[in-house]
Amino acid sequence: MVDALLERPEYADHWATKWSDLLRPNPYRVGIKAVFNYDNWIRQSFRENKPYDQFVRELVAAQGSTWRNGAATLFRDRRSPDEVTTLVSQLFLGIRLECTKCHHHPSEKWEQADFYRFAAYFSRVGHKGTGLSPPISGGEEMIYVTKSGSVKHPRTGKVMPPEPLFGEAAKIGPDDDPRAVLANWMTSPQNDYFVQVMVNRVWADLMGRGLVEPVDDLRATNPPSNGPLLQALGEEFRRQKYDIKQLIRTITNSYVYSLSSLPSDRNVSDTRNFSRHYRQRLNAEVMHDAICDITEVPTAFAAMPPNARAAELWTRRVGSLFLDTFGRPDPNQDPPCERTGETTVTQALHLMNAPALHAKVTSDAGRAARLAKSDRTESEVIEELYLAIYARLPSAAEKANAEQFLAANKNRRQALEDLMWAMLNTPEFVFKD
Amino acid sequence: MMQQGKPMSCPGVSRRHALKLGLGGPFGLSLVESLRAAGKGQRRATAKSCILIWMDGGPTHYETFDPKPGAPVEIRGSYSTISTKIPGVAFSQHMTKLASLADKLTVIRSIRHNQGNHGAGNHYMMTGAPPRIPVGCGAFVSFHPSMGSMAAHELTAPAGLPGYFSLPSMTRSGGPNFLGGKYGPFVVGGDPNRAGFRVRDVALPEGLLEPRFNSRRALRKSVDQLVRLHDATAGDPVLELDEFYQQGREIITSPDAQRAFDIHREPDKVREHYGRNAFGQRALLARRLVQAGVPFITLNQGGWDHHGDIFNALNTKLPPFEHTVGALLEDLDRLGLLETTLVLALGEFGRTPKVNSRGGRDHWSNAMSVMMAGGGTPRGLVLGATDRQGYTAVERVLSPENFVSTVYAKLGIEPNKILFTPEGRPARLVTDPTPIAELMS
Repeated sequence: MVDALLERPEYADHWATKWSDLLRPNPYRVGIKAVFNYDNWIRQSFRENKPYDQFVRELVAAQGSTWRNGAATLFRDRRSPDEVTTLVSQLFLGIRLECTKCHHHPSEKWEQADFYRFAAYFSRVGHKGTGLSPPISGGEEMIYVTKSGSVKHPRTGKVMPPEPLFGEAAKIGPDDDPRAVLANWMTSPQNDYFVQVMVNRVWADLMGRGLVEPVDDLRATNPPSNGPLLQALGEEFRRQKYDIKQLIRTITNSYVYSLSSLPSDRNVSDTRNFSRHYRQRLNAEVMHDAICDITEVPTAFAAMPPNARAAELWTRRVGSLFLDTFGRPDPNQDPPCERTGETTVTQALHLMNAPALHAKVTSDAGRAARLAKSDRTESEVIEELYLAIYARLPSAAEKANAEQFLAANKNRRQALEDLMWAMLNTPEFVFKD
Repeated sequence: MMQQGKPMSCPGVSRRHALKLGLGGPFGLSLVESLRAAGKGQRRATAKSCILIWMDGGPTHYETFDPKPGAPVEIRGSYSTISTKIPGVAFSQHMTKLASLADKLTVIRSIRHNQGNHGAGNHYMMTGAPPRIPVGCGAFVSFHPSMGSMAAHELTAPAGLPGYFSLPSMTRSGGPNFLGGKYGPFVVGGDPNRAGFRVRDVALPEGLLEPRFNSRRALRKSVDQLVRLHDATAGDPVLELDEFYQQGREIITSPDAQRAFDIHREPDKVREHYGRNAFGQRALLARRLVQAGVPFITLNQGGWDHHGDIFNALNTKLPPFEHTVGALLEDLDRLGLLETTLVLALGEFGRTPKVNSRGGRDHWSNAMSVMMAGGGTPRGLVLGATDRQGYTAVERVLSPENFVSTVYAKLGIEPNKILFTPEGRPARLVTDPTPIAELMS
């Protein structure tokens, strides 16, 4: 089953949505075409199951036109070496250098010079063409490697040589792109940070919580809840040649993934050692698309083809009260961040009362209307609803309860709508259990 | 009800308890009192609620509160001035209603900053924090929590109502940033002047009658079989959703909460008074939300970016706008709410002194006018001044930090507070946490 799910197109959209939370900028600032291409490059990478090291190499050393190579948009968005540095180090190494930009990290080993030596790898990124001119920024820009360029330490004024944060990197030859050298260092087998932050990210998505939290903050003073596991997963990921689908297979086929969220009397307090599954609210796009599937009524999004799903949106500027209510990230926020799965009273109200949801549940073209018209028995209809909404069959008691409700209501369609509404408003639908 | 003079601990009022307390009264004012008494703000609040009228685009100071009749024609423009209730103070010609109410409000003529782009200016005035990187005009940015989100974070709204509303849309930098999505604005779109207008999600969908809703609720209860983990150490997020669901149900079924949202209950006379247009009715809805105890309401009113043909544009835009603002002040005052409700009207910056070749004025952050009223703000004060031609603030020069600190202080929020981002990075709420002394009395 895992294999079949991984081959579905929704796989790429789901993980691309996750990465676009972290990478994709606001098109009003960076330009529609450039952002659209970037989004497509991210999606295509997941469609192809591009090895993760290749994904990072293509991005970190991206060149060419922002209208042709979507990955180059990273450098249209993050224009100076220091802006790229904080993003690259945090996303792909789990090392947060934001603070060291201005001062030595008091409790950590990174110092200000480390930051600028790292930033120096991006000192020769050239921009040619039309830069940013919000709110349209419509121009095309070429990202290329310049002949020269340097990064200076802001305090001493000294020109900083490009050097990695630890270990050794290859010398930069006269014809080399320093970024390619950096990418090789990042993705080299000696670099545990690179694999560990990625496996931790995937683990957190599947398990409800990372081995390290926040997921991209790896440091001695923020140890993982299970160090050997993180180490082993990282090595396995490397051994599998950075195959993300294989990583997901490894985790989802494990004993620990199969554990119930229900605690025994001995592990009820466990919230970080994965002795049970931790409940997670469905994220905004997943919940939205599930509701469309359940009701069989798609949403018409602006700037998207008909029947598009929320997970396919190429920018968060596409309006949606539902997605805003359930906490898609604010596209205007900098730095971009992981979303939180919190619940709010407005979410509860939205599920209960939103006119758009009501219209889906009660639509003439919807599932409730279709089932009501069909000649299928109450028992079959109830089973279909349980499978669609809870992804399981009803128990005998549940079926009897639902049958009783349908029998007590003369209007079959209304009764089915009510059952659908009731189930959509229960935590069993809202949470991954 | 809390007893006066008794030491109180914070969890003294539960939400359910509060609901019973507050919504029993005519508009929940007793509720607000009791919540504020147990409130989380560290300062003594002089305002319980704030209505922020956001004039997006940057309103001209010349044609509103700071006319310069003595300046050459290319600067003073084509409008004349009118005298106000305050002897010796003049407003621009269309500001008739606010001129007649000048003895109820404060105008600050001397706030200035250095951000001439919409995105950056919005951020600075809305959060009190200058943008960290250069921000262009079209940008919508957020580096710091907005005033509204902070109010939602620090103050308590009754009965699980959102603490921060934004009508009809969110302002550019009006988000919660690192406070988290919970403290983002509850956006109420739509035009309350329309006959069928309803506040979203707080009432049953149209066409769904109450008996059916009750039957649905009973059904929901019977299909809800998910086991809850009641042990507090398990940290079951489902319990939180249960609590919110319960609160949501209370909002829907409480006649008093529903009354707050139902603008159609206002007598025609009052609705006329505010102006029968979208902005006018939003202002009226904001007043109803204040009465229900909501701490922060933003009215996002765009269209102040007059790069061309400014005088013709303002001939139609200003009169109904300033009429509504005046009506709101009058109405709050009549209901005895102005003393505890802070009303603000401003945009991201002022506009250029010289009328440009297209008959408009461009962005100008060296001078702007900000209107404040209520919440203990002095009645009838003009604070600070620009130079004779309105180029720049010269007297009692104030910053966005001063302005935002004043709003926080009035709401009982300590502007000196240190917040922590989820990464654990400390962030001062306002870097210069000095409120404007003249307004704090």
